[in-house]
Amino acid sequence: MIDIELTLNGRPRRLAVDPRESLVDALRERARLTGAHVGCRTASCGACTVELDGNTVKSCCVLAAEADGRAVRTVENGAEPGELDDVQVAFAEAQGMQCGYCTPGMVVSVRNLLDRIADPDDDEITRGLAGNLCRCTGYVNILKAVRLVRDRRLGRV
Amino acid sequence: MSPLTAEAVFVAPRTLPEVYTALEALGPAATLLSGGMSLMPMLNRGIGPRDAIVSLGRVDGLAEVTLRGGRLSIGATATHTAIARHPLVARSAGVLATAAGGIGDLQVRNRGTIGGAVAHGNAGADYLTVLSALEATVVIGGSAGERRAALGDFVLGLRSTDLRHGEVVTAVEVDGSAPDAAAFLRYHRVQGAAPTITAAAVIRDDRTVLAIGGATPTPTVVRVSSVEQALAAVDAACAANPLGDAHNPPDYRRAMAAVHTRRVLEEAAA
Ligand SMILES: Cc1cc2nc3c(=O)[nH]c(=O)nc-3n(C[C@H](O)[C@H](O)[C@H](O)COP(=O)(O)OP(=O)(O)OC[C@H]3O[C@@H](n4cnc5c(N)ncnc54)[C@H](O)[C@@H]3O)c2cc1C
Ligand code: FES
Ligand code: FES
Repeated sequence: MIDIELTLNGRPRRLAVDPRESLVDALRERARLTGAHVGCRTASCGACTVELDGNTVKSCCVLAAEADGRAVRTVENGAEPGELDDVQVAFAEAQGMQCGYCTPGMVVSVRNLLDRIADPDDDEITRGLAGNLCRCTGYVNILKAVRLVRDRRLGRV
Repeated sequence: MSPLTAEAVFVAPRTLPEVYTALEALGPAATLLSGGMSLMPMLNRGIGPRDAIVSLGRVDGLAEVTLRGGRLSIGATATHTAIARHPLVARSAGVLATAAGGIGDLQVRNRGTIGGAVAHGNAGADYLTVLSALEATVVIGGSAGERRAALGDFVLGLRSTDLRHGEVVTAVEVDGSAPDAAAFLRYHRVQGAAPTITAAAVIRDDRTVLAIGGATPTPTVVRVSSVEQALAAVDAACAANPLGDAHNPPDYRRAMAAVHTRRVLEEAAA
């Protein structure tokens, strides 16, 4: 086991991890943050998406040891259960989910997208979410949710 | 995931000499990790040793992009995202930026690195194709010193390279002066899946170099004198060294190689 120190959702955190352990396992099983989901472990589905130093990554294919000294932001983002941000509210209102398995990864990617591009068009939204697969919705309502939060932030609705 | 039994080590040196020392000390059990976008899915499936990981992620300066002595040098741990955005890459080798920006998806580009892609040597990989057309040189470091190899000599076959144990790809170099014209195309059947065919054409005052990836185990590289000559050369290469899988059988790749040969040459010349 090795000790890693990271900034987790804005707070310093020390975790003892196995050198082979993926970041998603460390987050779920050691930090007890179960928002990031595991869908494939092959960097394909994006359910495990978190931010590492401000960039989205698939945490099933990043070793926990690689996060030592870095900042990790998960879908929980330091909030209490039940406390939702505007992205999560928009997903709920637009029914941007069915089973919800992909949703935490989607939310992280949408937050990151809107941090980078305040007013993304549909093409930019689609490209921003290309690494997040959804087997349920057909993406239509996910796009609706992103447009909704974008337009609210820009005071259009 | 198989259970984690034996004790494991993870080292993330800050300098290349320390990387070489670690690789030597750990021997054949050592696994070199860069962005992990090809390696980690395999380790997660239980393929390959994972009890002694040597990470390049903390080596100082290894992600640097520089223009020196007329050569554009891209450090091994530069990510696809960084390459897609870098102003020096845009100025000297715009097709390389185009190729980098189309790889996989954002999360993959945020982690995956050019050194990892070159060392992985996968057929059809966007970088191998575009770097072939740019006549790139691979810079390889090791405890015995540094050596350079033309990309075509470095990639020996499907996911097989001339890299010896203990060696590390430290950079990739291309001509720092922008070509007169260039084009890059990627053709994939399913979004998110590996490309079926990648095609690049680079036109300089005295030569046009075409590279087609995905139809043969390593990129097919042609010095172009005419579209017809290039088509014939690519087709002959596909016949001699076919590549295919259940989704994209050899005949299909061969046909798409022809389509993209014509298309990329037309686009570069336009
Ligand atoms: C969902 C998904 C989609 C993808 N789509 C594409 C695509 O469209 N086109 C494409 O080209 N690729 C694609 N890839 C692969 C991606 O580009 C990888 O980033 C790349 O192949 C490997 O780079 P890496 O830095 O991640 O290397 P790693 O996965 O860390 O390493 C790959 C191999 O190279 C070795 N290695 C790594 N760095 C070095 C080095 N500097 N010197 C010596 N050996 C080294 C490792 O030991 C390992 O064997 C995709 C991957 C995923 C997961
Ligand atoms: S679980 Fe990480 S990408 Fe699917
Ligand atoms: S809502 Fe079920 S996978 Fe997206």
